[in-house]
Order: sequence, then C-alpha cells, then structure tokens
Amino acid sequence: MKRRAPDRRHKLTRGSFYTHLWVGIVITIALTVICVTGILLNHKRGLGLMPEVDRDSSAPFTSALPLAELARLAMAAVPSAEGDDPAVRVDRMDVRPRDGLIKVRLRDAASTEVTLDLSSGRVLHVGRRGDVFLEKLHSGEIFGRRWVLLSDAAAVGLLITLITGYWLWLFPKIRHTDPAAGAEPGGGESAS
Amino acid sequence: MSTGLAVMLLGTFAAPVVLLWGGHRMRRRSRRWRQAFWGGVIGHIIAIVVGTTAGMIPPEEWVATDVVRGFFAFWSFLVFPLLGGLAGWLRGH
Repeated sequence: MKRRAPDRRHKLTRGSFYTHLWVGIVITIALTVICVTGILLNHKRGLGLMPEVDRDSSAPFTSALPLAELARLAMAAVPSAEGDDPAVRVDRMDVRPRDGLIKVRLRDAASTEVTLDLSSGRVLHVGRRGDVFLEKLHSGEIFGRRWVLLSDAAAVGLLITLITGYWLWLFPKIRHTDPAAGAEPGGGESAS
Repeated sequence: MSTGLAVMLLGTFAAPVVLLWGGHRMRRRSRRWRQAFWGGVIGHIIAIVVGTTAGMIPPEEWVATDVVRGFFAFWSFLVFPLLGGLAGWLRGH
C-alpha cells in the first residue's frame, strides 16, 4: 500500500514530461504568432498602428449630426469605386461623446479610419488601422470566423504546458522531502 | 480550405510532430538520420522567423501576384523543414 502513492506520482511525472514535450513543440508556431502579435497590439499607439486624435469636445452632444450624414462625409473623404452605400463600405462607427468626435472605420484592405467632428462633420484625420489585421491574426479570425478555435487550442495547449511544467518543477522537491517516494529512473530530475 | 492554408497547418502542427518523433533515440540512429533531423530542425526554425514575419505584412500591401509573401507565410513552414531534412540526408551520405 505504501508504494502506491509514489508509483502514481512517477506515472504522473512521466506523463507530464511527455505531455509537456509534445504539446509544447506542437503549439510553438501558433504561440509565437500569438505572442508577437500580442506585443505589437499592446504597443499599437506607440507603434503608430492606430490613428490617435486628441481633442476636447467644444460643442454639446445634442448638436451632433445624424449618423447617416457622418457616414456620408467619411466616405466622401476616402473616395472609392464601391460607391457610397454605408452598408457596403462602413464597417463600424465609434462615437466618442466626451471627445466630440466619431471614428468611422471603412471596410477596405487597410481598414481606413476617418475621424470626424460630431457636430460640424469636419474631417479631423484619415488613417489606416494597422491593428485590425494584427487582431485578426492574433485571434486566428484572419482565416475565417471558426478559426478562432485555433487560438483557443493554442491557449489550452499553453495552459497544459504550464501545469505540467509546474509539476515537473515541483516533483523533485516532493521526492526529496518524502522518503517513501524513492528514486525514479527516467522521470523526476531527468525529466525536468 | 485553400491549399496554402492546408499546407500552413501541416507545417505548423504536423512538421513539429514528425521532428519530435524523428528526434527520439538519436544515438541509435544512423548518421544520415541525425543529419536529416538537424536539417529539418534548422529549416523549421528559419521558417518560424521568416514565415511569421511574412505573415504580418499588412493587407494593404498585398497584391494579387504576390507569390513571395504567399510562399513564405503559407508554404515555408512545411517546405523549409523538408528542404533542410533533405539537405541533411544528402550531407550525411
């Protein structure tokens, strides 16, 4: 009966070692992409990946122009052969009442964003949103909506690698403090 | 699923598994096998750097005839380890 607990621990350690090894190797590329894009996204403002317009609101929010008019002005600022249908050209409109501006993101390759004054409709800035592509790459959505599962799989793999790695670090310490555990060939210290 | 995406997935997940399998019991393997393994590993490491960099080229810079970006971002993950493995195999002769 006394041998049972150490045996189970040894099996767990061997299993952890091989799980850590195989899962770690398989998810390397996916995690590399997720890590690099994550770092770039964390510093998207510093890297100039998204346009930043600092402005305090001068007019009250009640004087804001209608959304359709703001969408029309934004589309006019970036002429395109696709016409002026907001349902086709506009991806989203981000209203900032406190700043008195609206960010209109267009559905083009560069994810162009037009920043307009909410009440006058004046174009404040036109620039590309480089972070949109990076976000899609980060989540796996760049290949299609269902491909976010790829990112999920990498995250689960990382979690498994962390847990098994933690056990591989902890096991030799338990073994050295528990005389019943004994020495283990191929596991424990050699595994980690 | 496009061919490029299928190849990229193979290079991303299958190639490391094959390399891991090939790296077992290395001392008992032939010199050719060892050289092929190291060639594959080097090819895969180069592919990770080159492919990841190419994959981050923003979409507005893509063009329809962009063969180079497509090759590095999709095909390199599988082709580079294969080429590295082949080079190692031949070198170990």
